[in-house]
Amino acid sequence: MTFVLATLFAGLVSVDRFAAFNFMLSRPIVVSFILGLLFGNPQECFYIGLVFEAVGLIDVPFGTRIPKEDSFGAFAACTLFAILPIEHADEFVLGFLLSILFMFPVTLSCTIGRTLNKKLFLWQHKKGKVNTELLLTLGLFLAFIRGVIVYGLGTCLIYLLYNHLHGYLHRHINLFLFAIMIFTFLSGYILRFLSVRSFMKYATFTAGLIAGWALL
Amino acid sequence: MKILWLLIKSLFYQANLNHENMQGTGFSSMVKSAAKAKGVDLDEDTIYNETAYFHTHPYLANFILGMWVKEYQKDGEPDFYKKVYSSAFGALGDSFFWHSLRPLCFIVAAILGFNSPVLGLVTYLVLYNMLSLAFRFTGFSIGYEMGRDVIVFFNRINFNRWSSYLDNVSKFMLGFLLSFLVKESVGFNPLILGVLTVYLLIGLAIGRKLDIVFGLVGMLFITGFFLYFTGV
Repeated sequence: MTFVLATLFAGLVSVDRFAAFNFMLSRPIVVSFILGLLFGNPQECFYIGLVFEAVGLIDVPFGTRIPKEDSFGAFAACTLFAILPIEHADEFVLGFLLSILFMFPVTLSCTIGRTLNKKLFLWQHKKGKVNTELLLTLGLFLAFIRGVIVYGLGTCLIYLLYNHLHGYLHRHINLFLFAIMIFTFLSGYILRFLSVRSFMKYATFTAGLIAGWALL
Repeated sequence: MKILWLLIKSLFYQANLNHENMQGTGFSSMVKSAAKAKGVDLDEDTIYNETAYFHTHPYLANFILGMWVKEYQKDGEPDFYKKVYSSAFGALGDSFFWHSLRPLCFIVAAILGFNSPVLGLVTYLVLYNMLSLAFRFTGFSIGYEMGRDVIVFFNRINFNRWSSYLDNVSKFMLGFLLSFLVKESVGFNPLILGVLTVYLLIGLAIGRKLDIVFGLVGMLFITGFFLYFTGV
């Protein structure tokens, strides 16, 4: 029952963040207060909420940009810390890292949501008459479903990955491999960020990859 | 009753948010209801044209809506002022609500919610929504009353200064929150206090240079290793 309520709450968070209300139900600190009460571990959730709220405060949705899904980060981390016995430093790091890592694809789902809305709008636009009420209702529905599915699925994946990687931790295979995987993922962002012409950017990067592999 | 329905409707107007017309669909829907509430007849073409690109801060959209209806009634230039005010109110709202009010509400809620999550939750939601709903619910009538001079209302209340006032309060409260959390959670431990000072200085140094998520990932590792090796 608790998890059903949490999943429904995820839908509400997504609606509040993405489509309607803006009552700030989607703020990480609010998410963590509510999940803390729901799961019965308010203290842990409070600390998790602090971290993700800090991320969200800096990453502001100025203009048309989509900020990183700090609400999901808080949702997933609170759920993870509620259902797993996370007590040691390496477990903290792993739990937080996985939640942060999954914020990226979940943020991408916001972009996909906006694209779907755009397609719906253009579909109506082509007909020469836009049924605004229908579009708004569909938008609300999409946002709710996105929350339920994406938040739920994301949290389940984090749970599975955590258990998988945690098993390795117990076999004394350290976090380094995991860190390199994260870094590889983030390298993509760094590459995007670097302001060099596209071709040169990827050519230089590939040359670096080859040189690193061959020389070291 | 029609006005109340309009205000409720304004809570949902962003539902079709997209990169083609942003909040245009919602604005068109609200224009239809707002005109009806003020006894104005709009033809289908006008309603259709209002689905064009529109993007502003969600809490201040009702001011533009009221202004639009007034200008339309006066045969003025509703669409010209809609464009002008959407960017101006977008910037004003972003800097006050997103940039300043959220941090303050968070800090106050965190202090009060440390021992009582319910109190923290209620504090955040009440403190924040008291202001945001006040702007939302009064926006339409003020916009309608002042028409294209609606910006005068914001000048009158010195709205562009509110952010700096709140930021000053937030800075103080943040220091308070940090001391409170350390005292409650760790107590007086010279090693931890020293490390926390270093963390704060690192945060200050890289704050504007490195994306927060990257910084966070880096610090998670450093913290993990630190705790692992020191056994604190």
